Amino acid sequence: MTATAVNVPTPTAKHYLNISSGFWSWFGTLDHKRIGLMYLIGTTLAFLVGGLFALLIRTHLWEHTGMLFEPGTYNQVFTLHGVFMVFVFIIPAIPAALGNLALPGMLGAPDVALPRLNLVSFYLWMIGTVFIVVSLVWGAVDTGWTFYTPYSAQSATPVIAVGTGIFILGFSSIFTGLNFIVTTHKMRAPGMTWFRMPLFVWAIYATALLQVLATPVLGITLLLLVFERLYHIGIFLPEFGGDAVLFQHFFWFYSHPAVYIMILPAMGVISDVISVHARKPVFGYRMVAYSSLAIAIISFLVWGHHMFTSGQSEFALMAFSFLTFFVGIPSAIKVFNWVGTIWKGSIAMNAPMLYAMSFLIIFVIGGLTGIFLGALSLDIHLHDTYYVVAHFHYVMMGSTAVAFFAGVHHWWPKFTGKMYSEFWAKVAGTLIFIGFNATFLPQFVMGSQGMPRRYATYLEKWEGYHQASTIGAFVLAIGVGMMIVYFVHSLIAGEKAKANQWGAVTLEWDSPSPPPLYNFEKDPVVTREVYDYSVLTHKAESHRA
Amino acid sequence: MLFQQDPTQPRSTLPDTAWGMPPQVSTFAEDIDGLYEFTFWISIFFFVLITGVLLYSVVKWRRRTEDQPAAGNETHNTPLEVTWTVVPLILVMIIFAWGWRGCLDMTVAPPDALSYQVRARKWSWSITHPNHSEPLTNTIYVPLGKPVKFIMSSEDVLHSFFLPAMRVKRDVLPGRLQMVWFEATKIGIFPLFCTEYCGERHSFMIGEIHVVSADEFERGTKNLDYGPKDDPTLPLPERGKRKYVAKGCVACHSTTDANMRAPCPSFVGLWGREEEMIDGTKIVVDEKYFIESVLKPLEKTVKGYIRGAMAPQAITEDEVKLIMEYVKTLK
Amino acid sequence: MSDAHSHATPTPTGFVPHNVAHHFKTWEQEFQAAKLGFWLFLATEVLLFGGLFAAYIYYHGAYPETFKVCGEMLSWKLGALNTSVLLLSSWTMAMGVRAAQLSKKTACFNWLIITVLCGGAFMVVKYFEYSAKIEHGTLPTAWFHPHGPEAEVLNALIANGGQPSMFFSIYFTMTGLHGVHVLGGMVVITWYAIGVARGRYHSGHYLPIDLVGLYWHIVDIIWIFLFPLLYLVP
Repeated sequence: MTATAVNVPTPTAKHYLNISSGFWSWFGTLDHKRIGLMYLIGTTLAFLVGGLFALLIRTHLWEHTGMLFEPGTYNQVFTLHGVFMVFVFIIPAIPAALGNLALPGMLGAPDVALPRLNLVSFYLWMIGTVFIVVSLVWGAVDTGWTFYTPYSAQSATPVIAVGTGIFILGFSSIFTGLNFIVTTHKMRAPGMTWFRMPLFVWAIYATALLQVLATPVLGITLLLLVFERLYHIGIFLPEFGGDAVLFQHFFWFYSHPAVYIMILPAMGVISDVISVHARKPVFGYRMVAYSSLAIAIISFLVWGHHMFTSGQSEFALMAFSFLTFFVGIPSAIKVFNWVGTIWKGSIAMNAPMLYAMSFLIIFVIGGLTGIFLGALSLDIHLHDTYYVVAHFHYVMMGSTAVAFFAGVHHWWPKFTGKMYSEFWAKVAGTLIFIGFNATFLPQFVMGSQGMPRRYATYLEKWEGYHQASTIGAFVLAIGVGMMIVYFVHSLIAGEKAKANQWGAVTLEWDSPSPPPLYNFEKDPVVTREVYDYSVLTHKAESHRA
Repeated sequence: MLFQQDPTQPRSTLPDTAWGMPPQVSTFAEDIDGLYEFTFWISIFFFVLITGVLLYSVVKWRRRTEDQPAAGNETHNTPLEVTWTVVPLILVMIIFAWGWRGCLDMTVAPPDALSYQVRARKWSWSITHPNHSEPLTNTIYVPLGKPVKFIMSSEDVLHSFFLPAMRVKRDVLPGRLQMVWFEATKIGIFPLFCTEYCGERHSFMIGEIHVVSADEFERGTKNLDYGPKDDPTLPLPERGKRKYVAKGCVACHSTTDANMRAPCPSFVGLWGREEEMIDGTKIVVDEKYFIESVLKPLEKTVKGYIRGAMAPQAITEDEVKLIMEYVKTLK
Repeated sequence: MSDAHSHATPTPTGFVPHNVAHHFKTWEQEFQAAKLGFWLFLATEVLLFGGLFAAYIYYHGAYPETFKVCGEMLSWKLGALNTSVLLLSSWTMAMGVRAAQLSKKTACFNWLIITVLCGGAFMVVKYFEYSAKIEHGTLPTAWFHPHGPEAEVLNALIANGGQPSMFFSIYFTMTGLHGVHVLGGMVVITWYAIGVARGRYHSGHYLPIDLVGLYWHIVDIIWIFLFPLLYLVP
């Protein structure tokens, strides 16, 4: 590409989507946006598969004796739901899909630092997923997504194939995180200081630290589990002098930080979406940035709160409970700062903002119910009941997935160059919000009444709550289905999006929509502070003059 | 309805509290429910505050023209930020201290607590009452107003012993002893659940706890009412039937429905049937095969079943023979 | 992006020039990005082994007597031999990197090949150690049938509540995973040695040699921890 060709935009301008075509131009691409887009499609498919399992679960539980399956089959269905949603969808969803699309542009970089590794990471994601899908041929796993020993060492289902699949997905996640850390350190445009970085970048950076530092422990845990099944090495098996609870320590040492691998990027998305659509700098920017790092660090120290009933020492109980409350504070700070951002803003109630509002309300409920579970004596009653199920769905599905939707609506015009139907987006967003709450609010009630989780059959008195929950799940599914339809429609027949569709001031909106191959027509130099919307008013005034 | 063998639903003879918690039947319940209410009101306060401010802002500062700037541009306010950091911190520290104190009470049983032995296995509870040698399956009797403790272990995978009405729960582990204790405060019958996923029939691993008056408990213990008695004068099939209940076979193996198959075969019509093993050999269910199947369940596996679905059981050969006599009668 | 970004680093004569990747502005940026990325990768390696070290500490605490008795059954002489072989290989690796930086093709090739041979020697010693264990049946769990000279001691240990099979589980898992890393390193170093012979790495582009060297040092350092923990501490 010569300098003159770039500087004169023509109606048929080349951008990253039309610069080349064919199978290998996608599956061999080193462009972060193409990889991000493939991740977006892949993780969305995984979400739909996981959602289908969720609908099967909810339909089965319509009757207290179970409506669809034998209990063993039910166990397989909820395990697959968990495995697909946690490992295949939600962990890569925001960092790998949205992060790949937006992060380099936000830093003013032409690409991520290690593009080849980025592609490797996507291939690992596909290979890991294939392992999990292929394992279905031998019958699905029935261990729950937590793979607790000794059951997972005995189960007659293909734990090895799924364990290997998740091991590979883990390395995909590590490489994505590693890439973002290096990119953030080494690829920032001139003038892009750390405190001029958008909060989405801060959140992805904190997430990446967790991905790199926590996932290897999951790797070794699954490796040991695979050895346990192949060779009975006995490390987690009591009959050989091992300790089954040690597995839980290992597992949650990864999987609690993993909860923040899911929620931190969601918080980043929300910070940026709210700022743009309220046209106001994020309130307490530095506090929000620091709180991301604080969450990342403290999250390594709270894994024991998943094991309050496993029989830990009183001291361990106290320490884990204390730290659990402590990690809640940075999250609370973020919520207050978002509210402070909206206060006196210029609030556009469009689709991304509607999803962001849904996120805020759902996340507040998810966070507050977490306080109940952090309190030791109360947790003993609520542990492993539907209360926990409802709580983590509020955080993982209601918060992270909805923030993911908010982010997709926000960056869709930038990276596809097309707009979607605002009207249908609002309808779908409302249905998702209502359906979600109808699904999981009743589960809090059942949980506090003592309904245990992972039950294929249950007491008759909970049938009403379960039916309300099932109806909610279908409303939610209709909302999601609608969303898929208008996005596909937008790709085919959507209106052309503007270069800066929302009036944002972060760097990725400085380039045309969709952006050119290396993101910018001219290497950006950053001279303004982050979220400085006065730039827009100056532009508007000079326009009028 | 799919399940031919719908397990008996555990009863609860008292209603749930107005707060949607199970009835308060132990000395812990009131404190825990108090903490629940306290946290609930704090949550409601913050939820209303946050959503209220959000909705107000959305209505008041809605963008009406495309280039409308923000109404204010305040980017921080230190006193405000300190307030909303410190106030929640104080509140959660109160909740932490409250929960911790409550939990400490639950970890140490009083020295005079009556001791029960609990053995958990896929998928039933066997509970040996004080001064008894024979365990009961899925049924517990405890006296009113006296501390009781349960020493628990598992024969196979993880389970968890959960009595919602008593607000107690503890994971039951293989190769390690675990303990819960409580003091019952109301007479009645309440559910017992397994809350740690343990495989196929996890949701069938349920039972009942009966809180009876101290006098009644005394009498029941003395007369060995809380344990199935083996009466050598009875006919063998009848004694076998009692063993079938006492040893927990009842949790999985049906004696009424011949169509029950995997994970556990029905005992109806089992005797004398020819079964095909996973290696293709055919075996008639006779005395030798039956005894071997119970004592060494991993030796042979019938086609269509999962090896290891039944773990080796704590049972003697004589007991197996009694159960066999009972099975012979189930045509 | 202007063409100024894609330029070759200074290349001595007789070597293959290296072009800085398109998305980097400078050679330094590429170099530093790769270095940082590789250090992060090494951190994940350390954490992977960290899990096993945690298991070691846990079971050492649970069965101290077992770890004492079984640790003495490992030959500290062979362990020490292997430690010195690996230390030597770390030195030859460092010399190889130095030679690459100075564009000394033959010297670099030789140092790398010596490093691979040291790795091979390490694996041969490990093979003898493993086969002795297999012969005596001092193996993890289900394969644990001691019948060598140690059988009596081990049976006495079991009678006292020891769990020798757990020690051997941990021994085989840790040294096995480490051995896999040594083998992987040998393959990769051989691959780069061929590249060196073809003139791909020189003062203008020694980064891959530098990185594989870092990897080799980390593998060495992990062994420096494994050796005393398994052979000496008990």
